[in-house]
Amino acid sequence: MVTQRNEVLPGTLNLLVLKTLVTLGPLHGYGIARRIEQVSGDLLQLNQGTIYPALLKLEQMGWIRSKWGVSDSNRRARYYSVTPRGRRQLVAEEEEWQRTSAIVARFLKTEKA
Amino acid sequence: MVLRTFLWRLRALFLRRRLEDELADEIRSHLEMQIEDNQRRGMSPEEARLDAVRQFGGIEQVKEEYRDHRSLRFVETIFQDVRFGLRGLRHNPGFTLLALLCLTVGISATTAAFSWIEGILLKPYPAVANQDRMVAVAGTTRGASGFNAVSWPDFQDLQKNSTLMDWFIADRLFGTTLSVGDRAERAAGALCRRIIFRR
Repeated sequence: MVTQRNEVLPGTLNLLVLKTLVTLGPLHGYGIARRIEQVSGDLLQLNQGTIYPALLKLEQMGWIRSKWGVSDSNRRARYYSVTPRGRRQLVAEEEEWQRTSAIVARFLKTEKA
Repeated sequence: MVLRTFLWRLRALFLRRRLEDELADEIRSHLEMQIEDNQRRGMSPEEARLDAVRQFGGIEQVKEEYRDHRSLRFVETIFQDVRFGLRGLRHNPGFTLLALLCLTVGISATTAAFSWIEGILLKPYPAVANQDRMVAVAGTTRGASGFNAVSWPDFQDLQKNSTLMDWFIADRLFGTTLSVGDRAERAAGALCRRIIFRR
């Protein structure tokens, strides 16, 4: 691959996972990881396994919940879905992220006087 | 740690085995789904498996990180250590017995020594509360060095008149030999060596 793939920025994985679950509804870990890679246009280099500790933390915070179910291919899988608290958290994190990136963008635009 | 997280982890402490199995199941189904997708894209089964494992990253690292966040790790570790220790003791009864004996002797000796020290040096007057507020009074003789005993009448005067102290006690009563004219008379309980009083 010629293009450089970026690591997921620390702290953004929560945001990506919550957004994915809000957009697509209940999904298993593999589905979430695939979706994140696809949306990023395969520019994000995600060790798919790291999604599981992240999911655990989100669940402990009460932002998502999980339930065992059966996948399309008739396989037992754990499905994660977002809770009302998780939706509120997502709104907060989206705002936070947009504010941060706007600030950084403004700095990058400044030119030497 | 947020309270919610703490409670979750506390609960997880008792579900350790189940959660461990669930994690293994979850990772297995993840890999299987990836393998299936890979094969659908034309990889051979072996290629598909290797690619799935590569994309997942270190499975054991993920499990370890998961465990770190799953429950109260230090409590889990303590349980493990205790279990390990007990197992070791059961395997080696001779050593266990010896260790128990050493501990028994060691602890009793220390306790006994401390009891002596406490009785003799730290709290020599067991019936007196707040011994740290006790002071000792002794008599002196003008012109002579050192202390001597307080006479019984002096002790009684102190007891009667002092407003500074709560209480006086004599820690030892003893007699002395008085010379009265040309004879000597034994006077019992005439002097006390020291007066202890307490504010």
